[in-house]
Amino acid sequence: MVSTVWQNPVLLIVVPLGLAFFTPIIGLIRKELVKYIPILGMLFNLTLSLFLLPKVLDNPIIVSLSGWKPPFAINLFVGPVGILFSILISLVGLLTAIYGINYIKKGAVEKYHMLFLLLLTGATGIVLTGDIFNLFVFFEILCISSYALVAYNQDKNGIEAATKYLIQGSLGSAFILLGIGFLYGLFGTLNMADIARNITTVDSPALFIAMALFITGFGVEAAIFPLNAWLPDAHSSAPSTISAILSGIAIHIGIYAIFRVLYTLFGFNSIFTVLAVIGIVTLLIGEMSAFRQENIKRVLAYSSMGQMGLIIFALSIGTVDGISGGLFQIITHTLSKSLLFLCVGYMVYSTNSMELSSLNGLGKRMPLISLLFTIGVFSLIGLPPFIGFPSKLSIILAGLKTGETLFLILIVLMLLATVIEGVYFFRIIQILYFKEPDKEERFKTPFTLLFPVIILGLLIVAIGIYPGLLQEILDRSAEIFWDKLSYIKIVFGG
Amino acid sequence: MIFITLLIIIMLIGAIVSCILKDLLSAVIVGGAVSLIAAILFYYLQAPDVAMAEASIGAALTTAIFVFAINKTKRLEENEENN
Amino acid sequence: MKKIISFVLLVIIFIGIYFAVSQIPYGKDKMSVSKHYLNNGVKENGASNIVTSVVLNYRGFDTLGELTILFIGAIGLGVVLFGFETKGKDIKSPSLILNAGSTFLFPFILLFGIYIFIHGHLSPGGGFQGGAVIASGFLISYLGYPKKRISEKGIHIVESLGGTLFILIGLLGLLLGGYFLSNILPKGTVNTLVSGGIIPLLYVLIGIKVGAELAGIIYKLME
Repeated sequence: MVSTVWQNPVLLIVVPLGLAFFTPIIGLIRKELVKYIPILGMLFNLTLSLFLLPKVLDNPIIVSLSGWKPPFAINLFVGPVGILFSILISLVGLLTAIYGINYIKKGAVEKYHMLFLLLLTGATGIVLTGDIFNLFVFFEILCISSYALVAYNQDKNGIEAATKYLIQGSLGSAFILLGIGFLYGLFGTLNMADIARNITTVDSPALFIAMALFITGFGVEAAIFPLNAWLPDAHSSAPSTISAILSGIAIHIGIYAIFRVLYTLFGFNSIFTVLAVIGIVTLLIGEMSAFRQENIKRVLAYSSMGQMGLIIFALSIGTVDGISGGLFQIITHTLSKSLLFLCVGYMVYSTNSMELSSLNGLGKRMPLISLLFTIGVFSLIGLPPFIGFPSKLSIILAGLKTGETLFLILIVLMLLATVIEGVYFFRIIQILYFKEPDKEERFKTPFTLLFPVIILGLLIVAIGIYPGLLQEILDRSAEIFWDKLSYIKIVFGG
Repeated sequence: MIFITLLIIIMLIGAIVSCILKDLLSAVIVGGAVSLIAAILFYYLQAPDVAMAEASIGAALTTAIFVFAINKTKRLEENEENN
Repeated sequence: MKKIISFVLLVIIFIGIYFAVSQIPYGKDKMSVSKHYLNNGVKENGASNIVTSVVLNYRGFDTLGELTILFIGAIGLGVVLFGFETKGKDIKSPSLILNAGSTFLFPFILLFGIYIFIHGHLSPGGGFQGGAVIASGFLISYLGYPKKRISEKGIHIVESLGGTLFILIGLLGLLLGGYFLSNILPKGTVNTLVSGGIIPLLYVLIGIKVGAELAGIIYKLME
């Protein structure tokens, strides 16, 4: 239990929510102050999460809301994986909010900032909760805010992409609700630790159907192979800050939800082999489709789809090393993909078109942004001094350690996909640096647009050169995530 | 018991009919009727709070919002020529 | 061709769900959590409607989440329809029955809605239901007088104040009671109007907020 009020992890969810509710009144007093509210909320979250991280690595904190004991009320399970995700969400949210001060100028600006803050609150709520219906409620907050934000530009592409996303996302949510209904009918409780404790008393194919419903429902948000038809349109027609948040945070949260349900509720079983194969199939389809696109944001969207397949493959290896590798790849992808989308946002804004041919020679006209774009690309491919190299290496080592031939074949396919990825990204870098530009003047980038991308670039380089510090945090988090019995013991007090 | 079975059958037929009809206004009204029958069934299952919420939101407000949306777009669904 | 594939998939899903539903033991002794709520709900909370005590006290955090989802719905509509002037077909001026009827019914519907959410902890009902009834009152008054508008600023202020006060009451519970949304006011005697701690207060806030939000959605679509 926690000592003082200001260190209570509930504040990680409640304070941004309260700020988001209070925004219309601030907007009526002075309109210019609304831009700074998400920055305030995310700064508070980042400070509190960094402060809680050393405490949580030893033993996770249980916070019960409304004062009643765990199976009868909702509780939050604040473990190292949760705090790690919360640090990532608040960091990327803070930098994107700083970028968004000068980037969002037309449309309903005040409502954009409210929805932005609510999306990040929903994501933080999912990773910190210990109750399955609470997970569904926060998942709905995340999904509905992202439907509204994809349609922000009000042009024809945006609204069509948002409608497709909305219909598929609503079907996914309906499946999740059916799964939760089955679990409640079979076990009589909605607390994740309580269900995990009683899972062996019911041994029937009904559990298999509930698991299938959960994977399908969360898989729509996580963009697994047959369910990802919405992803290329939605991520390329949204404004660039929202593409950065969707590719960097929202789809990772879908994967977290799937694996939290699979590891903690259902335990380790043979569905993981199927998920590993689906992961590699998604990776190959994503990379091969990205190869033929002509629109820079669609290239990045298909690359996100491919990387999701890689993360699913890493997390379904089923050992502690696999989970550690998967978490490291999540951090890599979040930092790199947000960096890429923020740089591309400024490029698209200055040249007013999204075609690859309009990027001719931008290396000479905006040198700093092109350099940071190159850093992002190299770290996604996995070249040595950047963060992508230790993360992909740890996934390959974890796969080889299991010793099964199926994983050996899948790792060979993963390396093939990395080669394809390298080819199309090098083609883009060649267009940036080695083609002749149309005009000769250099662009002056405003400071609020440069500052976030420089911080992301520095983080990528720093963690890439010295990954040891992060590695021990990740190993400890993976141990706690994998261990179902210690989860039950911590919630119910031994 | 037979009354409830009759209501469930009407609800299922109504749901299928509202997907097939071409006139969107009729489809919306049939959808409102399905919500109303669901509210009656909730009352039979001894859940009055849920029945009140479903009747007021599902049968009244949702139908009204759909009718406003149809007023602003078009009323008859087109035939699909290309799949 | 597509229709055949989708029909086959629907049949597979139907068989799966039917099989899973038939395995659930209805009414047997597994429901330990619900038994605890039924036995101790009135004693621990002071509200005689057990559904209310579950919604606002045991699982109050989910209620906060649902309020947020309604809020996002109203704002999302504002984002997509920003500055949009469509030429819908002109609404005919209402007939005499609609005009006179809506003038007569509007205050009664409003009173009924306020009654539902004030007595939420004593009889079936509560904040969401009361708010929806209030919004349908506004709907019928709009159908009777299509030219009258309610100020949008007022609706935004009411929505935002309702949400902020809910969170402030929760934080007050954190400071004084040690847990978010714990019951800090005295419980009173059962079955009277002032009983159940903070539950009636929260329901009044929820009722006003939901009513304002749904009325705001209807007005936004009418223009």
